[in-house]
Amino acid sequence: MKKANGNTVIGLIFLIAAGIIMYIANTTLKATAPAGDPGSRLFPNLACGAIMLLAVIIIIQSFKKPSKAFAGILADGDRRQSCIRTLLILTDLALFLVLWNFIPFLAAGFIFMFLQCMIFREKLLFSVFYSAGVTGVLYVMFAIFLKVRLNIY
Amino acid sequence: MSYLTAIQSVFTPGCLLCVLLGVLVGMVVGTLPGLTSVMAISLITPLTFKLDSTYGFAMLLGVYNSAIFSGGISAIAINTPGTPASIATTFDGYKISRRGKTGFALGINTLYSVFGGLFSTIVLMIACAPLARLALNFGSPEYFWLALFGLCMMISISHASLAKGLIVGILGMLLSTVGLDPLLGSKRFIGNNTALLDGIAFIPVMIGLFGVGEMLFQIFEHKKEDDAPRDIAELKERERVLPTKAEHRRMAVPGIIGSIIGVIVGIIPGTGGDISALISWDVSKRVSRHPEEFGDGSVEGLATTCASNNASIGGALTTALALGIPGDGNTAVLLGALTMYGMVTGPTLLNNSADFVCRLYIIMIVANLLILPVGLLSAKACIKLLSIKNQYIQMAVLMICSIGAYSMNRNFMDVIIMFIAGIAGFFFRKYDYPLGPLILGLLLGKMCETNLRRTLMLSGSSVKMLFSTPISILLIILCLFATLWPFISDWISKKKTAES
Repeated sequence: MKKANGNTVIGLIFLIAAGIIMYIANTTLKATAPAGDPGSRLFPNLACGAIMLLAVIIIIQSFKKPSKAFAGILADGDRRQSCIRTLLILTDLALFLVLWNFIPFLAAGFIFMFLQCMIFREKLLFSVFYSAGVTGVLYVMFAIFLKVRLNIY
Repeated sequence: MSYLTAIQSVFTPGCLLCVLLGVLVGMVVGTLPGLTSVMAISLITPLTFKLDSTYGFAMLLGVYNSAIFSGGISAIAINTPGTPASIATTFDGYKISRRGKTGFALGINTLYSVFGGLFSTIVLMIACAPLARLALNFGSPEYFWLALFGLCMMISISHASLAKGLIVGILGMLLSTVGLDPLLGSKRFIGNNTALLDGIAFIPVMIGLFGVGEMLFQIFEHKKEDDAPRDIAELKERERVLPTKAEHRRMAVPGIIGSIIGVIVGIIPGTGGDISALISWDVSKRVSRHPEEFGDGSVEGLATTCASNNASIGGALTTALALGIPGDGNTAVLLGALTMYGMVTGPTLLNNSADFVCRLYIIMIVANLLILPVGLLSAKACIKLLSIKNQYIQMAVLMICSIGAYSMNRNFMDVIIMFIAGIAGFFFRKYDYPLGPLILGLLLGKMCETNLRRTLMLSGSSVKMLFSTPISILLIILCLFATLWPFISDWISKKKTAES
């Protein structure tokens, strides 16, 4: 059997997720409603059914035309670096969203930008100024000119 | 005579300055992802009450036109639509930009947005009342078919694989069912989470998929060669903003198609530039001699979407001025401003305040004409910005996306939705799943479901009502054509190839 590739995995995720949502729809939503309305679950059920059918087609297609597996991508040195960098940026973004709830926006934003600069291996002084500059400009634009309350903690 | 008086009152330094100020504010807000034209107009409205009504509306219409136009700037430069009306602009605009022709794409955006805006203003001046009456014939069956027609566009947008395009499109439709049931008011898929009662907001998903997803993808695909200095010829090409005569000839027909569709769709309450641009893109692709270029950096595709979203403004104003019906958030705020100035909105407005309405038409023309130099100058400035290293832009964009998603409703759930949509966007991009159908499904799913169920309720579960009016029949034919045409054209071209 051929090795599972990215499209197979995504197809499987779609298939399982649609199955779970269909189960939730059928157990929590009303089947019918008064006065001819087909009810809340009609559309979710139709959509889940269509997604499951298309997921099966995608899985079959993925075995016919295999794309590169993620493990294969990681074997390449440059690609591995990019992958680690992307994961770090994503973690930094998640950290920023958590910090934003607990500390002032200016501080959270500065930390987020500074960590990004570090991930991109920028020089320390540049990182400090760039992070402060971008955070400051965006704060002035949104919080002062457009009256968006950015401090939500 | 009233047009002459209107011109005299609009062409004063004060009024022109108000339009210019409105254009500049609209441009800033429209370019920033997450900040919509409705927000821009709402922000400016309280300031305008201190001004004379003509000056106030000069500023408001300047903001409205400019915000819709400038949503295309971020769509082209960073693949993140500034406003929902620019979703279709990303299909071709960003691809042109990736080839190093950002200034050129921004130039097309400016020229064809202005063209669409002027076209719709002329339609507004000539046929305001009769067109608005036509829009009133739309009931729930017609809205259902219109939504279904929009959903048929999924087939056109799915370039690489039909199955992949359809699956993400239907996922969008499924996401549109989250929140309160549109007819019964019962909760669907949200448990006890009150932040999701209104459903999954469309803008955070759009920012996540197109903005965060694209930036993560660029970081992932980054190569050392990307940082190397570019050659002189490439930089010269980057400097070009205006299209050549030959390029204009190619874009003329799609520009006109986009403008006509923009006006028609704009007139129908509840629709807008987002839907009109998607329909225009699809129709232009069908009539084009180069349909294979659509979605891969086609100038025709870009021109038609830019013309269409700005043309929808004239359409929306038609219904608002002639009937007093706000078709979308923008016209609702504008009608609110009219009542604050002591005017009675509704069918009597065109007769009772004829002079003021004439001034509005002239202001619309002036606003569009002012967008031209401002847009072209900003395109030049954007080229300079692009000489900045990619990673600096990527870092800033991730932050702008986060703030943009939050700013819309001041709801942190929107930021979480953006984050999840960003991760999904990255994987969809990596494995060639088109993002357009997902947005289309999310945008039209609720409209489709609500109007189908409403029709069934009105007719007591009978489907006959869906086929009962001439407009419905016309829309059904369009749906069938939109679904079958890609397969028929494929079959014809294969047959031709086999014969040759």
